Amino acid sequence: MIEYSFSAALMVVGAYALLFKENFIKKVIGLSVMTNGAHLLLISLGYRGPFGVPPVLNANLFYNFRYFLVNAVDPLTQALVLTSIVINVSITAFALVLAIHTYRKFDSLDCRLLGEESD
Amino acid sequence: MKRVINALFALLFGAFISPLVGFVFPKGSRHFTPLVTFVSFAIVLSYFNSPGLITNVLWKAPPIGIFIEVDGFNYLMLLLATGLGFLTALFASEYMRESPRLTHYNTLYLLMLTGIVGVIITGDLFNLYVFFEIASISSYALVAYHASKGALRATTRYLIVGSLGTTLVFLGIILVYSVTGSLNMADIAIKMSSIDSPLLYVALAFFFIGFGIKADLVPFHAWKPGALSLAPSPAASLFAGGSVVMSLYAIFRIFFTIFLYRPFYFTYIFQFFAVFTMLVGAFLAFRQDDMKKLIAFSGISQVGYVFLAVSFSTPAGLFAGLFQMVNLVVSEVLLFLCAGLVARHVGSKKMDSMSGLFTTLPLASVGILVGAGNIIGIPPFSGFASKILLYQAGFDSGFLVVTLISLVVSAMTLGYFLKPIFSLSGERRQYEAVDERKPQIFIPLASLVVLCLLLGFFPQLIYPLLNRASLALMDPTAYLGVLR
Repeated sequence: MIEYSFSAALMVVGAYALLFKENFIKKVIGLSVMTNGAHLLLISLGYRGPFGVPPVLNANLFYNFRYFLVNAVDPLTQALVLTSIVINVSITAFALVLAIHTYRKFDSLDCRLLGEESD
Repeated sequence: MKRVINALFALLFGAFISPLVGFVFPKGSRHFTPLVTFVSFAIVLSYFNSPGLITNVLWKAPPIGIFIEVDGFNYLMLLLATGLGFLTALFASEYMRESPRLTHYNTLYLLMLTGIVGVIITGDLFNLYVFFEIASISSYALVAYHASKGALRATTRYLIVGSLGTTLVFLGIILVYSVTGSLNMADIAIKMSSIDSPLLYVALAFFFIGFGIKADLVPFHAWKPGALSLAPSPAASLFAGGSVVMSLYAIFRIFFTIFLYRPFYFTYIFQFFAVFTMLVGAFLAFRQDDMKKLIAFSGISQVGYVFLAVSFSTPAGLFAGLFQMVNLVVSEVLLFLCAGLVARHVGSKKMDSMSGLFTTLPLASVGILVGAGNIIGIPPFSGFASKILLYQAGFDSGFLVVTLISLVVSAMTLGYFLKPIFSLSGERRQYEAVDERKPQIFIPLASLVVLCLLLGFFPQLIYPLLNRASLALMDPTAYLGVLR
């Protein structure tokens, strides 16, 4: 249960920073924190208790195949998290580039300036 | 080897070699994007006469591997996305000709279309997320293309809302995986019939909000008008066409096929959002002075109609909803392309500074007239047929109040479109010359206008396609059948 509440807390904190912080960089940090919370949730789904083994079949485990099947950690969630990390790195990179351009045009990273519609 | 996934591969491959083509042939590279999108469209079109399920296995058999599944419903969406994508790319090859970073534009355009087509054809929930992200990231970059102050502002807003939405979709997929232990859409749908867990409803809400942001449902629409107004005009057309098709597809597929066994909640949720979307979109459209923003708000209002028709959850309702969606995306794309030409001609997007466009820019003016007439739903255009079907389905299934609201919103639509239509007539002024007779500009506009009129006079031409689509949506036995 603790991993669920921990990742939920991370996501809420991240979403709060993304939506309500005024500094652009803090918004980007919030985005990273939020997505990492989701990643932790997904990784924790693959957890198979304290007797979990890595999902790699070696000679020793081959003879205990049933034990391996029950206790092997779910490899799919790890592959999914890896994909998602790559995607989120590219979003973060894009957001940082946007921050650079914003700073050049507005001479500030304050997102309250971005809210105004005048011009 | 003839496989439907080649339509996706063509776009993806095109996106990757597009920078190289731009580097080697700086002059001729503008013809590359229409070529690639046309190949993709032709591959999709070659399946026109093969009804039933088209499946491609990329690796391993269905419940495990990477799997492509196209039934009547996907097929309609796929045809719309690639066809409109091709016409828009053709238009852009002339319209964006002078643009300094044409190669960047072409690469992003192809990547966004890759994402859209990928979402539509995939049979795997996680692939759907990945393609959704591909479409999203390239669309953020397309909005920021001009890098003006306004564009940066719109992109920031879009990035914040959009990344929140994609994270919600990701969370929804995690929850579905934790409950069912599968990512194949058909497999999940079969497993869901025996599982009932509150987590599934949470996942459903996440999916609805996440894709609703892209489909511009009303509480989540705030990013859309600014982004569409400031993106290059052909890119805005792709937003209004392909991106809306993609997110509507995802919502309907998830609600109707994957969550098949919980149908009765949908009606009220869909209707609640539909009524708000119709009304708020129409009210906000009234006070716009920017032509592109007005068109964007009219699109938002029309998405409400699609949701309203689908919420009746009768075969007639689904049929009308899909017809409405076809009209919506075709006329939105037409309107955005014409608005782009008009904005370049006049030098401003403000409708107050436009006058006498019928004499100086006849084709674009006709395009605006036809697109507006199609969205309002007046007789010679296909919007009339779909609206009539929608009202009929609404009255037949007993939802009188919401159907009457949608009638009122139709009248409002006529009201707010009077402003752009009046700006077409009047006294002729001196504007910058724009040549409409170039084939790259003439063909997309003319074919969209002809499509609107043709479907208006002979709506039965599209009935077989819509029938296939609405039957596939109503009864997903064939879609789930691949696993049995």
